[in-house]
Amino acid sequence: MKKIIFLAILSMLMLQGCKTTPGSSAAAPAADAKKEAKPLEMDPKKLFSSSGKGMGNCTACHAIPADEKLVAGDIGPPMIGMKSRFPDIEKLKAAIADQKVFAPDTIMPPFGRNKLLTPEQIDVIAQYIYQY
Amino acid sequence: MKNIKLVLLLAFCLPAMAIAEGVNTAGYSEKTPEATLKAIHTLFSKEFSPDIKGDNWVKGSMNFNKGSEEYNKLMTARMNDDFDQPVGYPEAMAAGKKLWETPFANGKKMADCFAKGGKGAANDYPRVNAATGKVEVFEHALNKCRTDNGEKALDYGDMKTMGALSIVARRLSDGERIKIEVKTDAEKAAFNRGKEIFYGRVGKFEQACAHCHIQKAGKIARTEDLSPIIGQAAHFPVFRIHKATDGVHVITLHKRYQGCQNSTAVDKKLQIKPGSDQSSDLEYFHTYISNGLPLSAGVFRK
Repeated sequence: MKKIIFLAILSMLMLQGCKTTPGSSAAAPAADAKKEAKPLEMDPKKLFSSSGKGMGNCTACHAIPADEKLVAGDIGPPMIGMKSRFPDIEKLKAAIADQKVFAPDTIMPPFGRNKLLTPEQIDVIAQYIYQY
Repeated sequence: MKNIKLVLLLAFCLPAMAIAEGVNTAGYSEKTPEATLKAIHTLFSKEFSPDIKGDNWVKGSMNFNKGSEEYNKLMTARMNDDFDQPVGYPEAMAAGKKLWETPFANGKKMADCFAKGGKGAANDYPRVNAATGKVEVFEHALNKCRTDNGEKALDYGDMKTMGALSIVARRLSDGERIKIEVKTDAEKAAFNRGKEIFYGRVGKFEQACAHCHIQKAGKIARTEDLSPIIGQAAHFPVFRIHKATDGVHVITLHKRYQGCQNSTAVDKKLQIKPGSDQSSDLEYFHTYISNGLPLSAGVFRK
């Protein structure tokens, strides 16, 4: 039994060695602790358009054609017809949280899964873009 | 007991490997370097042809943006005008020339380390050392020249020394066409290591080089055009705009890899560094994809 426990610990340590691609880590706990020290940004427009920690930086890839100040990227689809594209807003939130579930090769970061945004922030962004 | 160990190892390793999986875009699933190159060219010729042909690939994102092309022409003209050079350009060229031309303590010069005084030397790299299996890039050769002659190696991440020297030395190979052949097992292994990095997701954003420079090449991210992989490796180091001085500064290909990793929120501790084995593997794959294109070091890129 002791040997099995030892092997289990050994395997966990070897986990690091299995990562063949650099930087392929989930969110670091230390970084999360630092982030939590700052008040969370909850302004929808700032969350959508600003870059940096705790921000969505959605503008980088998604344009809002109705607001000419928010047309800066076309990597992702523009924010139009959101209600018809996502009749269920929960699916929109799920896409922001982890689009890889729906499109395995997507470039979109998993904002929820990797804790780049909180569920509350994702909710605010989803409600904001739902108007377009 | 061996079976238990194997099961435990697989159970723990598989999820980790899943995080590091590649992005299935053009070239990803092809097994050989030739097929990889063909798949990427086929995608781009469908996407951008007939707008981009031949050597124009070296112009990168300028192919998609006339304004960017005009800006590049203006800055290039300024760099070549002694009376209007942007801050940073004459300083970098002087520093590079000093490092290239000043004799070492033993009386020898950098040019003595290379055939034809360095002319065309940059095009012998990146290459795979048959004995070690490691990729050697031109900057490794520049440092080897220094250390073989009793001088200290330069920091691969220091653009004021290694970056400046690289531009001056690489300009001696301008116009030479990239001709990387991947034939031996060691070369194939190096190509595959570089390819794995290019298509591999990294960091908290889980983005790959292949996302921006194959899958989304030609699209716009935060008002910047994303350049296609073809032609990128042919024109480094570059002079890029330096916001703090409103002038320019040198960026080598490996330094650019760091910039991309910063932009995609890869933890600094996990980034691949200038001069490292991983950056060199990536450069080997990256340069192969620009086979046939002319080298042009020290050009301006926004």
